[in-house]
Amino acid sequence: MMRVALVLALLCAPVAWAESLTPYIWNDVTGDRDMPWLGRGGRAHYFKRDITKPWDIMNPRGPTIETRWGASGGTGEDPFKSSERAVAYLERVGALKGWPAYPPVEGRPGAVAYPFRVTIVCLEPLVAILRFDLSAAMPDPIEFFEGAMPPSLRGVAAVDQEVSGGNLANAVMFGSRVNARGALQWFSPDAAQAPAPLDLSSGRARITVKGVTLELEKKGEELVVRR
Amino acid sequence: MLSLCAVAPVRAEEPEPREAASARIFEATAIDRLILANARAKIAGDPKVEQRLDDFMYELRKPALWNPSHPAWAPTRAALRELLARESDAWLETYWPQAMKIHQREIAYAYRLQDILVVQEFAESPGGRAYFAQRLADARVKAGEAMFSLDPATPAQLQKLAQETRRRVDALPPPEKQRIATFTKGGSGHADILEMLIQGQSKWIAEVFLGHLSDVRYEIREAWTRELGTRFASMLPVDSKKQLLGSLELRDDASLLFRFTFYWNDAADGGKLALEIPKSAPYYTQTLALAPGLARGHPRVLYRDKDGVVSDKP
Repeated sequence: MMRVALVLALLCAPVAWAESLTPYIWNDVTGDRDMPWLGRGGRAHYFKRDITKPWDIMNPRGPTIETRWGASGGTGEDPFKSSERAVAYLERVGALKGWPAYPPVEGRPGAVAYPFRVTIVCLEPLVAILRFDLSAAMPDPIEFFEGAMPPSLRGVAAVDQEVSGGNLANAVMFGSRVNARGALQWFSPDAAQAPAPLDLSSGRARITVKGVTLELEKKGEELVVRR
Repeated sequence: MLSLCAVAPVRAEEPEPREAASARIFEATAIDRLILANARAKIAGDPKVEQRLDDFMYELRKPALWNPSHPAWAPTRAALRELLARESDAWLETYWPQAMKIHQREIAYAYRLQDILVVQEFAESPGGRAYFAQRLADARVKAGEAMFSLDPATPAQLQKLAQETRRRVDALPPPEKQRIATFTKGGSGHADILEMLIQGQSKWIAEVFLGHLSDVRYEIREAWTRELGTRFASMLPVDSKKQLLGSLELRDDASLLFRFTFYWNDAADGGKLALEIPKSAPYYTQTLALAPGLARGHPRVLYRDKDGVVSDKP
């Protein structure tokens, strides 16, 4: 009896580590996140899957969690990869050229001091908004990082609106709202669309890419993106 | 078996003969003070000490706000050096008893018993005492007592002390002078080993001092910031609760240069980057608007508030 209890406890331990995820299946953990639009319609969802094996109990890194965003966990892309693809595309089209870089750390190239905030607003195809901001060239101190967010996303939720990936000084943001202060541009790695200015002189703009149309409207300090 | 157990504690309390000899050598010669003075001399010219002082200065005001060319820099740094000296002296008072034990053991176990007794005999002789007193006085003159001192003295006092110890050596009777010559140049190796140990311990203590300068407690640094902030309030650059970004400069060709520093190579201002914004850039006007009236040759510091608004208002 004792032996059975011990085996059960060992099997359940990884689940206990990993928040309240049901192991081995994709869990929708979107919660209050302001998610990017999906080209095929609707908003993307945020998924996590705990694939920790019982014998990983001694893994000092803790549980093994996979993350995806999209329509489902199975079809979605790793947010880290999306972010990395966005920044890699900027590099490929020369947008990062001419901006200085921080010194390399442990053999990895140093982050580029790119004075633009990057916000992913749509997946499949990947579309992102660039906002010119001198402070983006340096890593945000913790107490100031919310300032990069649109006003409605500041506060506790702000920390869930970022995704690492890409060699910039700050993480890439995501959502359907963007801080509208400063000159704005858009780009799409999936449509090979290099950064192009957004004309918001009328308060509105439209992005059409691969048959998907995004309507943009400036509301005070925010740019609201609709599908 | 029982009788062995009963004997063991008694034996543990007996001082190891070499440790006892080492303690007497230290008592007669104050070699620990010589090690201390040597260590002070080593760090006196070490750029890491000056860099650490600069780091403390940049805790008072961020690198974008000032540097050595600011009029308040030199007087504030001098006052900070005094505060640091006081703190290092107080810290040394508590640290030195531990270090002393280590020095004594190092010397005790570097010799065989018969050899350390030779060193002890020399150390406790009038010639040995006068010889080490002169070495210590000379080392203190060389090192100064700017920081990490157990008995701070002015340069004039140290010079006077050095002269007195030199006179004491000169006044020694010939046999004692001969004793010094025999010990130091006699080729027995005792003096060479002692010298090697003094140098080794001095080097180690210098490293401990540098380590301490990188590890001054936060509340102490906070107190320095408060004190210096009050003393030099009228001279210091205006402080801000905002994020200090860097400085924006208008160049002769009308392009803009945004310079900023970042922590690198153990220095608050160790890394420097500059973003160049040509007049043709679409965001040029937006950047220039951050510092209204920006003139050539007069860079303006930029700040960012918690809402992300960048401006030249502190």
